[in-house]
Amino acid sequence: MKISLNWVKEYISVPETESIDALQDKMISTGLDIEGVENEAGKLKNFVVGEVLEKIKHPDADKLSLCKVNVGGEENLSIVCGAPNVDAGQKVCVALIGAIIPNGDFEIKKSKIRGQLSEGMICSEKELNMSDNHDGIMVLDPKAKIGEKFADYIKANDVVFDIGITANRGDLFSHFGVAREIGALYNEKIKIPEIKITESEKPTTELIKISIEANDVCKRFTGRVISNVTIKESPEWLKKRLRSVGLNPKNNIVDITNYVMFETGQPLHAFDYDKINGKEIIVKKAKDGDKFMTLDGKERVLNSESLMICDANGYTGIAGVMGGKNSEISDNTKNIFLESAYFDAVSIRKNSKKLGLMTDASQRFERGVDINMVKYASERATQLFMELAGGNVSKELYDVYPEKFEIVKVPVRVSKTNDVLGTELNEDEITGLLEKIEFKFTDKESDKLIFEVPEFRRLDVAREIDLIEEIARIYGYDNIEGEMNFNINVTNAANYGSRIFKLNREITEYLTGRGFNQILTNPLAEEKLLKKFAEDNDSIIPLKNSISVEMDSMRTGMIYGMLKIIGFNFNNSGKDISLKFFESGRIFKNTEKKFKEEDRLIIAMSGKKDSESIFDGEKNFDFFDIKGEAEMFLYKLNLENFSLFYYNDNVSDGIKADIRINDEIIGEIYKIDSRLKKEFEIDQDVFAAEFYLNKLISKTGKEKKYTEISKFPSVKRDLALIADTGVKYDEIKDYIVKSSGKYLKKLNLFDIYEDEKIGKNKKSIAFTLEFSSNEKTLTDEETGNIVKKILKNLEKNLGVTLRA
Amino acid sequence: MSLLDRIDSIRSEAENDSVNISDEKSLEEYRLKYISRNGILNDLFEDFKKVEKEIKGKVGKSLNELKISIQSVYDEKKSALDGKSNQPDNAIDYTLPGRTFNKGTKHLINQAIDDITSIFEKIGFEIYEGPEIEDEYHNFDALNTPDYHPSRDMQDTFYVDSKGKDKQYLLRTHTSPGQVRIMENTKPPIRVVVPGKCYRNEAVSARSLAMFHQVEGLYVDKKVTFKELKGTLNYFAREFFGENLKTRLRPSFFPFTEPSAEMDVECFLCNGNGCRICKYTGWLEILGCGMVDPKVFEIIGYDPEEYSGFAFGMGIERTLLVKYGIPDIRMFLENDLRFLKQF
Repeated sequence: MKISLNWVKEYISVPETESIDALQDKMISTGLDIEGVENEAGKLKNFVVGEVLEKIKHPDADKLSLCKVNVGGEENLSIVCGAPNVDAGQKVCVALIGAIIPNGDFEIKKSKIRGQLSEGMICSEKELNMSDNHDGIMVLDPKAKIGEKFADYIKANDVVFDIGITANRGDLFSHFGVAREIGALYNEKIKIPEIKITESEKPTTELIKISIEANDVCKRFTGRVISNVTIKESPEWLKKRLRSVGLNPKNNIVDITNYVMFETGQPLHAFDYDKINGKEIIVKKAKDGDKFMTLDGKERVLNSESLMICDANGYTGIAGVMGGKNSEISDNTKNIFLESAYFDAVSIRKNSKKLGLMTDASQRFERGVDINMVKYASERATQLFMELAGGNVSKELYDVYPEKFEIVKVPVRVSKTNDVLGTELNEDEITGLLEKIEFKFTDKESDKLIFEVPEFRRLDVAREIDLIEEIARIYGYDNIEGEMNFNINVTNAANYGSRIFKLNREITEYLTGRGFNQILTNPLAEEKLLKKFAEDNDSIIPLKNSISVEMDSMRTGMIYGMLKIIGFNFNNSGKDISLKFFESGRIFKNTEKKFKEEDRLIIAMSGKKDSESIFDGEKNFDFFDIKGEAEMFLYKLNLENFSLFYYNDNVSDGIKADIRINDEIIGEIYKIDSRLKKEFEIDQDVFAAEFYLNKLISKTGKEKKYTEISKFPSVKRDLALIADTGVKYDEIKDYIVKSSGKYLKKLNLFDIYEDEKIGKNKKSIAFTLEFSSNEKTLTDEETGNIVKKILKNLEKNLGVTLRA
Repeated sequence: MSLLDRIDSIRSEAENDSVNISDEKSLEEYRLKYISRNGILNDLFEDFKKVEKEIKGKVGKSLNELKISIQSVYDEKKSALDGKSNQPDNAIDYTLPGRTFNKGTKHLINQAIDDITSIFEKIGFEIYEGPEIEDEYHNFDALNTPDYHPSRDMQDTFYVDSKGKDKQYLLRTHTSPGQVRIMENTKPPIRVVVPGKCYRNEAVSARSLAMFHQVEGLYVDKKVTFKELKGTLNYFAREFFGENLKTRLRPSFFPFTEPSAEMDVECFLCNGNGCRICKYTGWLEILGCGMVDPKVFEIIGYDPEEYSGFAFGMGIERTLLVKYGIPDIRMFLENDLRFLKQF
């Protein structure tokens, strides 16, 4: 909401000595959310009054003229001008080099236009945002002083604040409202303009009949007829006010209703009286599905919540939102009917939302207007109609106000105020603060001070805490000293502390140390893609109102985001880079009764191995890199007792392994399927490990205990074996472990190869075994017996033999 | 002879002796004379204990210098006798690059969340993470934001297809429902921070991602005051932005706090002088906060006469954009390695 300081000053006086910066700081301290400040003179910094000394035709362009312009400088400026009305002898507004043209925000630079030098621009009213007139340049008063700042010439000294209006402060949607707040800063009450109306003989009630059917939502409706008005352009002062708050002037009638709305906060609507059928106004709800054309020429589909202004034949306006095309003021309008009313905030909001139509009026009604202002605003506009459009004013305002609002009274305790704020305010101070913003102290009941809430704050202030906020705001948050002295040890942390968050911290430290880059992707995913690869399409959770197909459901796995990032990086930094990424986040599943969120960790590797350097040559990541990382990760979490189960599925390319602990799957390792990679235009192999953190965390945190370290030396034995190529490492390892008993402390694969010398379809596989006992030094015989047993079992079960 | 004079004379004596070190034997003699337990240095240190306070500093300094110089002469001579050169071995080019691997990095957003949560953990706040798919009750109603309240417009909501479910679900628009969930299950005192992802139905642009991160905070106990809210947040701002930046609270509005405020910190790019980033105001908005509205306590079932509390919430991305001068919010989710490795 734009607020003009000059306008505000019509109602209160701000000390002349106060700088704009100081005023602004004070306004902010009371809660006026100043989002921007426009300084009118500042915007016209490089605009001056100039005189056109000479005008000749541009040699290469029919419509352009070359002008010599005196702007009071040492040399005259050459300016190329395209306006048909430019002529020698005129006083004009010149935008100098460096000027920013208000309409279009472009900077004037020294340039050549069709080969001719131009050192500025002669401006039209439209370029200066002073009107829509772009027929030609603006010709100034012949007496204007050459070289004078254009801002001084038009007396531009306004400052316009752009104020963000929070949902609770509908009263600030007006210059009255903001003036009141500023007034509180300087202990001033606003001066509301007096009304002077000359009424004609004809009573309003004889000219129109008003009835409210929907009296639950229309609490007050007033009307008046002004006849024989002259529709014309508004005077300059009025147009200036409207432009300063960002409105385009239309004609005197519409401009006045807008002006009064921005002044008082009360929306008004002027109908063409002659277009009101039956000279009757009925306020009632619409029928579902009915259609109605609003002022902006758009057809709206109404619903049973839509509150409507109707005449004898049907709808003429959507109450509190927008008037109808059928009763619009036109250049030929002679007589007008002026509506000023109070509609229920929630009702207007619902309707405006359903219609998808938000207007200056609906914004004000939905935050609540001042029911007492309904009459004043109508009279204020009527007075301006008389002054600016002539006409006869019907006698007495037709005021339908069936149930008068009761004054809201709210109690506040001094003790509670100080308990909440940590202040030491007394009764007088509290009363003084609240009276600054027109809350009236009425009474005291035991320890409660009773205040009357001003009507314009009805919807916002209803409880003690609301008054306490007002007290704090006007006292100044700055004047409340901060303090922090609470006892550190009083929390019920165990009840809600997130173990996953802390696990993720640990994981992040570890993986970044292992050279992984943490990424963060959007859980909003593309349903179409998920469906292609999801195990179960029913588990996808789609959004009801997504804004794009790439983000129309919740991710069911972490791999999609990961692949997107891998593809993006290969694309950006070349195919020969090394990628090691991880991400922690949630995946989402639709189950029968509820939506499930699971915490996941994904680790992925693709491209060139990062650890291979000049010493060893270049290789690409393979399955054993990710497998190793996954294993080390689990060791790091002290989870040594996992096992892997190998298979292949929809998202994997030849290999996938479930990671299990005690028969529960806690994660998986796989090579990404090529169809899936294709979706992200990735050629390189990608390997990933995913961990189900909720399951994983239940396995961690086991209490640790010391186990004895053997005092006796260990014995190492190498075993070189020959096996069929089909026999797996895991199988051989398992038999070795099973056959060894308790003395086997370590088993290490140190060599594996295939060679024709060994035999067709045979491989050599070699282990180092380390044996030791906590009770004694093992003898050669003892270890020899173990090895014998191992070899016997290997041969019997796997056909694996000792290499000769 | 004063101790200081003795130190000087020992120094020249040791210098003379050092010239004569030519083999293991003379080196050992040097060590025994000066450095060993019964050596001169030890005697000097014994005597140093008796020196008057006033000159202790000066004498101590001189004595230490002597010790260092004798020790280094010894080390040098020893290396020379051992046949060691003080130049690196030339057979290998030690200037070749070391065996390194990729530089791991933590995502900037997670760094910030960790920093913020740690600051609050130091003063006894716990961490809680609520669900991202929320119901209307926790996201709005329990936070005193009834249907058709204008403040619902502040947050354009993604609704989740809730076919077959007991109620309408949505993607949380802020981390504040975490407050409600904690209070529902716990009795005060409560001190908690809730970090996490939030969603708003907005078109993706340089300023908006439709998904963003917030950290929410809540403190409920008997007699919690606005004063403490201010003190706590000032502490946070000092820890997070540095000692020297001023902060201010301005009145604002949130349906679930009363009084409500927004906290600004002096622009850390221009130190409050005004620049393009702070729109020449000298201030940057960093968080919203306020005293928990008694209405919220009533909905939860706490007695607002017995308990009071404060809450705050801050967006992560926008603060980071400013802090690091990042031009486009989308870079956070693009995860370009060249971006990630800068932080």
